[in-house]
Amino acid sequence: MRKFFVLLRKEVAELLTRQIVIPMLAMILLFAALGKVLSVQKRAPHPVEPLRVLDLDRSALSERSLGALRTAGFRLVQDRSADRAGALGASSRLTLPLLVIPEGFQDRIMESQRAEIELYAVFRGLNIRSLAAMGQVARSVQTVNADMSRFAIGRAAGGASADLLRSPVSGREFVVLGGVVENLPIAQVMGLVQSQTYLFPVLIFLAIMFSAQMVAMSIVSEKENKTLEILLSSPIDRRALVLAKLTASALVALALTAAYMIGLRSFMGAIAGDALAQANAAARTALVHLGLQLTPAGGFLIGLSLLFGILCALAIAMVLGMLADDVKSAPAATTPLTIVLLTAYLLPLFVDMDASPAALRWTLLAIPFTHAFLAPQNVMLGKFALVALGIAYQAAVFAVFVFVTTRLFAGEALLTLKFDMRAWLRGRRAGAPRPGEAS
Amino acid sequence: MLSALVVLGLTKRYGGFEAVRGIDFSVGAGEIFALVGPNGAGKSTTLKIAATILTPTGGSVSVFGLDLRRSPEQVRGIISYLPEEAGAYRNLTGRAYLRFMAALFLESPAGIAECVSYGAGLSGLGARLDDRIKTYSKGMTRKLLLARAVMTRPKLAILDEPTSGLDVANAVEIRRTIRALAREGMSFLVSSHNMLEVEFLSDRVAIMSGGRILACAAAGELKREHAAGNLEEVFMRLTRP
Repeated sequence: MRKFFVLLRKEVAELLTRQIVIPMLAMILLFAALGKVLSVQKRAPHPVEPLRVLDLDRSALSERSLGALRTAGFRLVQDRSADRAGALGASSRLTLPLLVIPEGFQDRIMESQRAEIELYAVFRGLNIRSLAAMGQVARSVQTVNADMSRFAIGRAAGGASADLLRSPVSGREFVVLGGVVENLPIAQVMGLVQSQTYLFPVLIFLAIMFSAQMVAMSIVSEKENKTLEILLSSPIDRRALVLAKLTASALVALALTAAYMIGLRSFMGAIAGDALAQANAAARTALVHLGLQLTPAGGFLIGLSLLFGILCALAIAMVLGMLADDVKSAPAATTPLTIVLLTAYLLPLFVDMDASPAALRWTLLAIPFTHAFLAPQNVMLGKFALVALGIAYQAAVFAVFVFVTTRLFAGEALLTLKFDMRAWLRGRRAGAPRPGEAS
Repeated sequence: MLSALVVLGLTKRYGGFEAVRGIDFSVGAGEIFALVGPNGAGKSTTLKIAATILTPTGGSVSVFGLDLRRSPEQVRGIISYLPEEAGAYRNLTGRAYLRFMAALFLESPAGIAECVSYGAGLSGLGARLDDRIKTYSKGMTRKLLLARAVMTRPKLAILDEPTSGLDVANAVEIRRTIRALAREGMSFLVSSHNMLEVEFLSDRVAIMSGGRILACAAAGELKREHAAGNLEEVFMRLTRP
């Protein structure tokens, strides 16, 4: 046990280099700073985009439409040009969006015909802020339309309320989840679930990828720096060596993931906002009743599933790391693991596991990482037994790979096992035996 | 007296390639025994087997009476191995590296501290021991690794090209240290390309080629037997068809 801690300390010291720590801290700061900037921008009142208006109809209804726009918060700038060509002619003047109410606007509405207004949107940039400003301008047509609709309905229906006639049915929305029914806007629940469904798997993916790379690098750098042979000839239990490498890689990977999580939370919080924080008190209680707020028990299960996902990745990457000769070939050696991980990450995002063909479903469930990706959804849906079964399966896969790794460490495979892709390809082309095969 | 190392009929195959083809030799306690020969002669493979990191295909190897196959962990407690072109953990300081290695061999904090202090003296690195190893030159790293290999006072030290990468002054100093430690009873199995070094350093020499031992005796005896001025000439006469 003492030697395990001696090895663990050395492994952590070797993995936690300045090259790892500085980018990690930089990333937390960068994400936090980006989040801060975005949330400040979000809180700041959006400046109202001025809208140039050319009223060629000069009628009571065109005046009414302009009034409706002003009431809706539009900042109107009257264009005094005699006609459309004049307003559009001087391209230098086209720095503001232009709304044109053509002649005959009122006549057509009064004759119960569809009238037209023209909107010239000016794109001054293609960033999100410029696009948001254009969206705001685009709403001017809807504002005029809504007001004219109110006018036309009022005119046709006599004393009846135009607003009531425009929207005679109101919907009460209920969300049913895991047998619990709550009166909540569906869009609010969708927003929350989507943020959880996208954010959690990204973190799980990062944690598992980091772990796999850490342990593969740890093995490969021992081989490349020629420190492995000294270590293997020392009086250490090989199991302690394997476990020290696994533990150190998991610790460093979790630290890296925590760094990403802190950074991402700040960033995503600023972009999407926190659905729970935004909800009013009643809605918040309803969301908690639905199980959409993580309980400590649920969090523990998700954490356990993530931990075993990481451990599985570590054990598999350790075997793959043995195949690599140097640090440069380490990423290539872990490619099969990356492919499997990507499959387990992406497919459940787009495929409904319950409705998918049995072969696909069982293939995905055979990948130990799938259970870590599915754990957040299953916990929220109250399928705790399923999560527990997944964890048990992950633990079994981990045990098998640790056994294999320890056996490989006990023999000489660590020094003699290698996969040289170029030599293998050369051999295949020439019909020669693969490396390691008897010639 | 119990031999430090006894090798009988040792063979080692890598797939279809036979690197070591049935060699026999023994190293006495306090003896410096050298394996010399060209690249691919089987020297490093023999050393790696003696260091328990490769398993023999055939034959037997015992260290102070302990069979390598049956008791590898016990053997690791009484040997130390220095591979050719070995490295050290680049992010540790020299002293931290010595402390780490000492803690793998010894249990008591006092024993570890004494071992580190002895290793620090042997390395001759002085204040640089507190710098990270990645700042060391090749020669400094080699001196640190040599100090590490003998600081735990192993019964058998297995050194592959011990002075590789060292300048003349440092190489001479290292050879003197090895001789002094052998006088204190430490046994050495070394391999080298440098015939002059082997002549100066070793009590007995085995000349290897193609996985076989061609001759094994004291350097002086080999020179007399082959009427040669030095070991290089002996080697050339033995290997020339």
